Amino acid sequence: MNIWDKLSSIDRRWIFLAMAIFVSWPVLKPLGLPVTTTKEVESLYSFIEEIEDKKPIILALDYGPSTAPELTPMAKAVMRHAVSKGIPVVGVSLAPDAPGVANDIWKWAEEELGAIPGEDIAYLGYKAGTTNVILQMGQGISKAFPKDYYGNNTDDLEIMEGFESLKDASLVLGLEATAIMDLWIQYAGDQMGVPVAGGMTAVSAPEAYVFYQSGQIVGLMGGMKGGAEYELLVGAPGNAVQGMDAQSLGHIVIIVFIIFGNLGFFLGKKGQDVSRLKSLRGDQK
Amino acid sequence: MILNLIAPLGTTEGLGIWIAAFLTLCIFSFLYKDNPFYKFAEHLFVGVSSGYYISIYYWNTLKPNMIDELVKGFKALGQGNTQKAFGLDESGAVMAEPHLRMLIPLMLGIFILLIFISRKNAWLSRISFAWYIGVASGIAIPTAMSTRVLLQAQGSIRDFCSYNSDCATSAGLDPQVATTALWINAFLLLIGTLSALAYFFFSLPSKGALKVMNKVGIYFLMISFGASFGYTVMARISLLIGRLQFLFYEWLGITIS
Repeated sequence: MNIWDKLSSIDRRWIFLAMAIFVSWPVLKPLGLPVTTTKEVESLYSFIEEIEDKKPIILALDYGPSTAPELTPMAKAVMRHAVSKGIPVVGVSLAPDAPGVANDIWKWAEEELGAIPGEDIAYLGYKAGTTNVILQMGQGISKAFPKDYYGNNTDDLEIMEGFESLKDASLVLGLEATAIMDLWIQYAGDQMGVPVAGGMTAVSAPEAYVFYQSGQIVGLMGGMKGGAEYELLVGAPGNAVQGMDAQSLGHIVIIVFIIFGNLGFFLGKKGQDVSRLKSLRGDQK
Repeated sequence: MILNLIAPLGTTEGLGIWIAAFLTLCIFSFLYKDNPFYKFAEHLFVGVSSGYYISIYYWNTLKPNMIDELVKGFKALGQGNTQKAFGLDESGAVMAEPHLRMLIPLMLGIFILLIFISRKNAWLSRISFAWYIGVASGIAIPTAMSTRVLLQAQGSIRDFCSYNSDCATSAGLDPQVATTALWINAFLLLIGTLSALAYFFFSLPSKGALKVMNKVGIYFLMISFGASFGYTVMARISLLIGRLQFLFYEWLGITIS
């Protein structure tokens, strides 16, 4: 077995170890690698910056703990921005595992940002039915959510004054780990005419860029990088910015191992066997 | 970097952090090889998730929408108020609360369950599925067509209009000053869309111009798969970072100076 064969048959545990080391290192000792902002995130920031009539933002927290490292930094950064501008934030969830994560964010907003529940922020909780819930919110927010997550009557909340239906929202920002984003775009955006923006997990983000390009959403944050960009734009670097160094080193490790794997394949015995087989097939033709 | 005390085990929050840290390490142990700690955490996760979802669906959906409504309806029926029992007010208008009208969805739900209970009566489930598919299609198809096809097709040539002030004004778009890079971008988008679509056009043999378009389409598709792969790697590393931040910052109490 020559060196190329060894390269193509590295025990996967060495890859895991390398990944653990190179991701842990910047988490413990940040390297301060630069993070640049993109126009998709900048346009979301500008959109919120330009909201003047103080109509509420609907923050759709449609994700659970498994994708919280990517999406929670986005939620916190946007809430920080909205609260600092005096724009009310009303949270809803169409994913059943979201309320626990959302409750943590709402408590954080109360303690860290000094947001007053019921006045500056409100969380209406989870409701099953995705499409039906969005359509019902179009008829009336309290029809879909008669009570908030904490048991208060939705109509009694100060934040709901003049906020009858989804159509009265200044923006719907969907923080999504699933295909619920499509539904917000379809029904809230294209059907009701409410501006929609997205904060997507990195896995889902590539599918959402087409909606930004076509003008169906006003902004887009993709994965931890999107969250880091928004944290920088609001001037409060948090977990996402801290994680970007680790993200970069993690990608370098993956790239290096992909190169190793390919070199090992093409220059090792396996690749030579394949090319010999191909040439034999060519001879037969 | 400052190493503080590990999360205090005596408090509720501290205990939660310790349990979360232990379970995280149990799951990570699978990276070395399968072992009883991993199995324990995996089974616990499946059990807790099932319990959580059953409880959420019961308290958020089944109880308020079905059980409570039926209880109210039968109570009204017992009091002799038939109109109220079926969710109608005194003038006979339909109220928001359906009460006994919920018997219809309950019946449709039971029809679906008949598939598993009675072979003889399983055909009744078709009524439920027909209703469900009909309503869902009626709601979804027109908007999906608009969102996913018409507006997307429009979006692929939108930039050409934005760069012409007359066209942009008449189409209600923000006029843009077209630079060379933007023009190249707009053409790439159009070529990419058309060639990727051509790649999935199977009604003509792949010869001549169509073959060239197919070839170009493959390259665009490959680039998009590469971008998706890159994003997927980012997603997975993000989750690892999230767990490491938890272990280092919250469990071990490390603070970055």
